[in-house]
Order: sequence, then C-alpha cells, then structure tokens
Amino acid sequence: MALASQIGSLFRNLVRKRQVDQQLDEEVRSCVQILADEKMAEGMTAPEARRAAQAEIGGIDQVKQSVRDRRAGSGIESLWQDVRFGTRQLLRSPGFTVTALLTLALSIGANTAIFSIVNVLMLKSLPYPHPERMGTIYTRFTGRGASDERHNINGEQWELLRDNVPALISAVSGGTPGVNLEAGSAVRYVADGRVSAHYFDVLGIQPMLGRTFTEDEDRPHGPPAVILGNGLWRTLFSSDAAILGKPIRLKGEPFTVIGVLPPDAITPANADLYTALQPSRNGEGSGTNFDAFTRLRDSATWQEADAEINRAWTTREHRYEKSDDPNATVSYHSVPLQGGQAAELRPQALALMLAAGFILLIACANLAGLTLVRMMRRSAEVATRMALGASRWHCAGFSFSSPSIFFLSPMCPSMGAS
Amino acid sequence: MDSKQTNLLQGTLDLLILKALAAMELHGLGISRRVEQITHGTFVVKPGSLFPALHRMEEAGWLSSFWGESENNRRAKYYRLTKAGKKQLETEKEEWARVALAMANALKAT
Repeated sequence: MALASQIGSLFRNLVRKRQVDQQLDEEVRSCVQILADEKMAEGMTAPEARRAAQAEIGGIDQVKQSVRDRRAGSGIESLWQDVRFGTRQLLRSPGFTVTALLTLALSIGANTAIFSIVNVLMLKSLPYPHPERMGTIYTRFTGRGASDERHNINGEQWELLRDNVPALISAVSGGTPGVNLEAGSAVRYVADGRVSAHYFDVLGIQPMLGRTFTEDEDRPHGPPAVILGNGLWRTLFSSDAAILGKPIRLKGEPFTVIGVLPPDAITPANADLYTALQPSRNGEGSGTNFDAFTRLRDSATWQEADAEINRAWTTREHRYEKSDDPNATVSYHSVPLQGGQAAELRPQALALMLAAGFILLIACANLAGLTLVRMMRRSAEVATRMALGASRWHCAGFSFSSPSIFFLSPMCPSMGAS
Repeated sequence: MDSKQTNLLQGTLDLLILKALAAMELHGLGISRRVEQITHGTFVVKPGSLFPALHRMEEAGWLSSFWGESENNRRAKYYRLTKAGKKQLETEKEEWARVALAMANALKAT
C-alpha cells in the first residue's frame, strides 16, 4: 500500500535523518566513483577523472539536495530548518527579542484578562435557567435630579411586591454577614446569606438534599432554619446526608438544617450557608436594606409585571423617594438581571476593552516597524541567497520565520501575564 | 537533460524506470544507461532527475533497494521492482497505450 509505505518513509526521513543522509551520500559518491573508474580506464588521471565525473552528474551536493527536496517530509524538514534559523537570529539580537516578547506578552495578556471580565459580565448568560426571565427593579425619577437606577427596597415595598405582584416570583436578600458556626466540636466563621423564602425559586436552583424555606420560616420569629452550601457541607460535615433535620448553632442559637445546595449552585449572595431573612416593616425593614430579584412567571409578560409593581408601590403612604423632591414623578420598571447587575461596571469594562485593543494595535504596529527595519538590513543577504539559487518562496519562508516565532512563543508568557 | 526533454519526460520517467528494472536489478547509473539504451538515445536521464525519482518511487513502495557490488567491485545501491511495482508497471503501460491511442486519433482527425 502506497500510503503505508509513504508514512513509513516520512517517519524514517525525519527520525533517522542522519542514517538516511549518510546512505544518500554513499549512493551518490559511489555513482561518481564508478564514472571516475570508467574515465580512468579511458586514460584520464585520477583527479581529472573525479572532476569530470562530478561535472557529469551535475555536482554531488546538487544531486543530494534534489533528492532531499522531493522526499517525504521535505516540507517539514525545511520548515524546521527555518524555525531554527529564525531562533538563532532572534537569540543573536537579545535586546530586540526581549523587547518584542515583553511588548507582545503584556498586550496580549492584558487583552485576554480584560476580555474574560467582559465575557463574564456581558457576553455569557447568567448560569440560571431562562436567565432572560430574571430581573430586578429600577426606580425612574424625572424632574430635578433625574435618574434611572436600581435601588434597595424597604420592608413595605417588599411585602407589596411579594403579595400584590402575581406576575413575578420575587425574592430579596439582605446582605451576607459573617456568623459563628458551631457544629459538634468545630467552630467556624462563615458567610451567611440572608434570603427570603423564594430566593432559590427565583434563581432556579433546586436543593440537592432536603428543601428550601417555607413561608412560615420566613416570618419574623419563625422557626430557625438553615440551608447549607455544597462546599461547606462537604468540608465541615463530610458530605453526611444525616445532617438533614439536625441542629447546628449559628450566632449562638440552634438552627435546623433543612437542605443542602447542589455543587454547581452560584448565587448573588455568594454565601457558605443561607438563613431566612424574615423581613418585616420594622427594624431593618424600615429602611431600604433589601436587594430585589424577580423571575417572570410562565404566562406573564414584563409589561404586566411593571403595571402591577407601579400600582402597588405608588399607593404607599410613606414614599421615601419623594423626600428630596415632592414634585418628582417616580415610576418603576423591570430590567433584565444580567444588565441590571452589570450596569454599573459596563461602561468601565467597555472602556478598558477599547483601551486594551488600542494598546495591542500600537504594539503590533511598533513590532511591524522594527521587523521591517531588520528585514531591510538583510537585503544583501537575500540577494546572495537568490544568486546561489534559492527560490523566492524559500527566501520568503525564512524571512517570515523569525516573526512567526514571535507569534507562537509569547503565548506562554502572556498566559502567565493574564 | 535539457528543458524540452524534461517536460516530456516528467510523466513517463516513472514508466521508463519501471520498465528498465523489469528485466534485471540495476544501480542508479545503470538505470540511467539502460533507459538511454532502450529508448535508443532519445531520453538521457541525468542523476539530478533520476535519483529523486528513484527515491520517490522507493518511498511509494514500488522499488526496493539493497547494497551490492558493481562491475568493478565498487559498493553501489541496487534497485529492484517489488510486487506492487510490477503491478504499477502494468497499470502505467495500459495508461500509456490509452493516451497514445487517443493522441493518434486526435492527430488523424481532420
């Protein structure tokens, strides 16, 4: 089979190169020798015969090279030769090489880092089911000091949102304080995500074990319950499923473990465990301390939800929003969560990306200029090569070999830099 | 070999080498001389074209090589046809016959 034979030859030519070349040399020299013998038999002297023989076959090295050019693996061989040549060139001018490498590494690294931020912020969807149905609420002011942004809400707003807006499943979180956890003999300082009953429903996270909070547990003075994050469950409780229903001590009080979250669960609260917020209109509920998250129910639309929110919230008695300017018009509208969460950072992220892009452009332009200067300085060398018989293709090949090495090698440091 | 002959021979060099080796095993120089002989001097293949072709055909599996002794007891690399090479010879002979017939018809036509 021709293909198998070719592959074998390719392997042999690349791996056993010295052997193969030695045999080729012997073969061509033996041919010269036979010819020389014949000429000596005709009466030439030995050196004359040799020279005539070599001329007759067209030069030993030329013949060897024409075989090398056409055997399997010649392309790879010449590519490898060009790479080695390019590397030698670069090593001989370390100043240029180091500068160029650093420039490329830093600019590529910066771009990679910034892109990954932008990617997570704006391009990748939130890791929840149907993220386009998740949202938060913006408050729009007209009049003096007009603005349109996300605000925390107070206890009254929360209760109205929960009870009078059937188009949405709503939840609030109240921050993630650190608390002391005592479990058996272990004591740990962990982050406690204080969230309302349907928080995990809004996020679309099903607990791996057990359940989430009931509305009873979310009422002030309701039964104390805690949901463990998967990481905490594995490290502190050794993935023991029997922890369900058992109490652990938080802030010195016993809390019953009612559920454990799955390993891939990510929440905006970003906590080790979760307790019920138990919001009311008093205490922290008298001020705007709650962060609202919503999910549109299946048959509802955002317009319905917004109408219901506005109806519910504009009929409140104490409207803190009007405290600065009683004549301002206040309205509320839902905003998709991805945009809402990232909105503050969006302009900065975009600006950074643009800046990094420009830096890369400038770096490339600089390098191109430097490389051009170097290439021009070598025009005498190229002329010599072509006079000796190199094809244009060959010259182009080696000219581009050193810049190509640049392209490939900064990948490593730039990965490190980013 | 000058350029006029090169163009003609590129497709047929393989065929000539296979034919030359059909009768006996030869080393590189010997193949060149045999080709010259059987074409009555029309085709003179220089080592610069012959050796690349020989190596290429060996890589394709049509020839195999071994080291032996030449007429005046010099070490030389000999070539012989493999089974695949013999098959290839027949294939190329048929192909050549078809081409020759087609050309003859084309030139006969008015």
